[in-house]
Amino acid sequence: MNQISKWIIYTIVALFLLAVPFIMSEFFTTMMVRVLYFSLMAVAFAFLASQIGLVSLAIPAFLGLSGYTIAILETREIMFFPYSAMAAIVVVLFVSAVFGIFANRSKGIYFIMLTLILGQIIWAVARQWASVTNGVNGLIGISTPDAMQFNVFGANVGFYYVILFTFVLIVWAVLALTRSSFGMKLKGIRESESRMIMLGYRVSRLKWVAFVISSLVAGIAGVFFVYFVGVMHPSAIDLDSSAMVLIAGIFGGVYSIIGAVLGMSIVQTLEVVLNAYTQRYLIIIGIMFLLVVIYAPKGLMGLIYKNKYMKSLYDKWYKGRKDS
Amino acid sequence: MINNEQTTQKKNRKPALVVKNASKSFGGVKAIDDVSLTIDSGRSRVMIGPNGAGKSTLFNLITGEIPLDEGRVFIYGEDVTKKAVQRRSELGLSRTYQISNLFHELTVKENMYLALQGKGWELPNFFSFFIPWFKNEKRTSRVKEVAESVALENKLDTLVSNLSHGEQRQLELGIALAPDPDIILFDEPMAGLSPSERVFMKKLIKRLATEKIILAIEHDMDFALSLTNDVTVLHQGATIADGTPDEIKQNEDVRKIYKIQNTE
Repeated sequence: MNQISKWIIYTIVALFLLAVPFIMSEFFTTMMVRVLYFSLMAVAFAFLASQIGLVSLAIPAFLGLSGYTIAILETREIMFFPYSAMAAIVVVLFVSAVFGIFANRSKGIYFIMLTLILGQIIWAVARQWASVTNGVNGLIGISTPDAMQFNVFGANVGFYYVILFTFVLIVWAVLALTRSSFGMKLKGIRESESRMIMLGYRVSRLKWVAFVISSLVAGIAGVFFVYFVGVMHPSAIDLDSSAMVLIAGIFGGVYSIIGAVLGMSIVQTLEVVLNAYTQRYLIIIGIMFLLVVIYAPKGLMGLIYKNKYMKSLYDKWYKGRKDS
Repeated sequence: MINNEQTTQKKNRKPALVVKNASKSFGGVKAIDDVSLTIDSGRSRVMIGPNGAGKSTLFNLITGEIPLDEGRVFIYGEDVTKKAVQRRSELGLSRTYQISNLFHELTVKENMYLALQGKGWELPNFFSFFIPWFKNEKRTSRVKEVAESVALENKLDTLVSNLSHGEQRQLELGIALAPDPDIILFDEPMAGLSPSERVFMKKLIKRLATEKIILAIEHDMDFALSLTNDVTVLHQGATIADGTPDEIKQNEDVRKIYKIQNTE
């Protein structure tokens, strides 16, 4: 495959994504939006997992934080878009900055436990602080802002394009980070924290920045989530959601951000498609997950990288010229 | 620049590394018991002693990876007892590990690139977030230099986990050398090397000893004693002898320890 055919493939994919609202059904477009905001969570998760090797179970919690901030502000008519969305991002940045100070002192299983606790605290607050969050009933009636609802060729598909554009931008930025000097330092921490300290790196500061970046991405996912669904409910941020992000990450390959997006797309699509046939769709997803863990421990992306051409593409992108 | 000259002058006057009455216990075991050590600028020192004497622990105390119970550590006159490992690294301290401590899933080039943080190889800059690491010309050219000095220039794109043990030891040294440190602590640099690899390593360390200040732990007595004229013998966490190789060879306590070790 040469340079030209590569660009042809890229163009076809781009054109397809742009044309989705017109060539596919409304059902499919809706599913795509769902896949895109869940994939943002997968990006947030995979960024930490692949770069520093930290598994965070608090990703949905940050989606919830930003979603609930918008829901509370708008249902009480305190603030509206875009100020409510900005407020949501500020809240996410603040909470992740404070929590990051504690979390980045831990690693491995302790980090997982700390983020689990954070996730559960935010879930519990959402469930039980009924006077603010409306408890288990959730907050309803958040309407999509006009800015995300413009018409394209007479069809009301603006939301799809806004989220698609944001998604591409974020994935590009995160991928650029992973191959920057900063990303290299994070990988150094993943491989040997003690050596990084001995080399003079401010390891906890680097981990903190990475944690905040990851939370920010999850927070942006929350903005789209709440405006799309129109409802903010505690079940959106419960333990199941954390597990779903984790499963999608492992499905696609924990060491790859693209892999996590792939994994999340498959899990979400399967859930929607299988749900139409059987209520026991989780069993099927479970069996598939089992097969992946046994036969492709590095996930789907691991399978793809076994292909020499794909591997060389990745090496070229990530490491530059061979002789550099 | 003026600042640099001042620091150079300062460095020349003060002893490079001073450990004063250091003590450290793990549970009830006294790993290091009132050890003092001075290394003057431009001189190197070798530390010998049987297994479990506390040599590696002393290294960890000097670098700050393990906090001291009592005592103080100075680097070029600055009291770093309470300072972070990073500060000591900034002052020009570097070390190798007895068990190679490398970035295993990265290539040799990437390992060395990371090792170049040292002193001012890069200014923090928001836009550097989005520039690929391999486009940093200043660093990548230095990577080659370091790789050549430890004879790894042909392995730059090899994953560390695919290197042989000897090559990993060479890289271990390369990472310690990359930031251009003033003081290097060698923790058994030749552990597990084949005879031919030892020859290379010996040559390299001997050359380094003329340029840098070295504190080495080494079991190869002949090599250790040929490296420098300052030898410290550690036994059960305490200094039992301190002097020139000849003095050490004559020392009754040292002979006793090594005899017992040999018959066991």
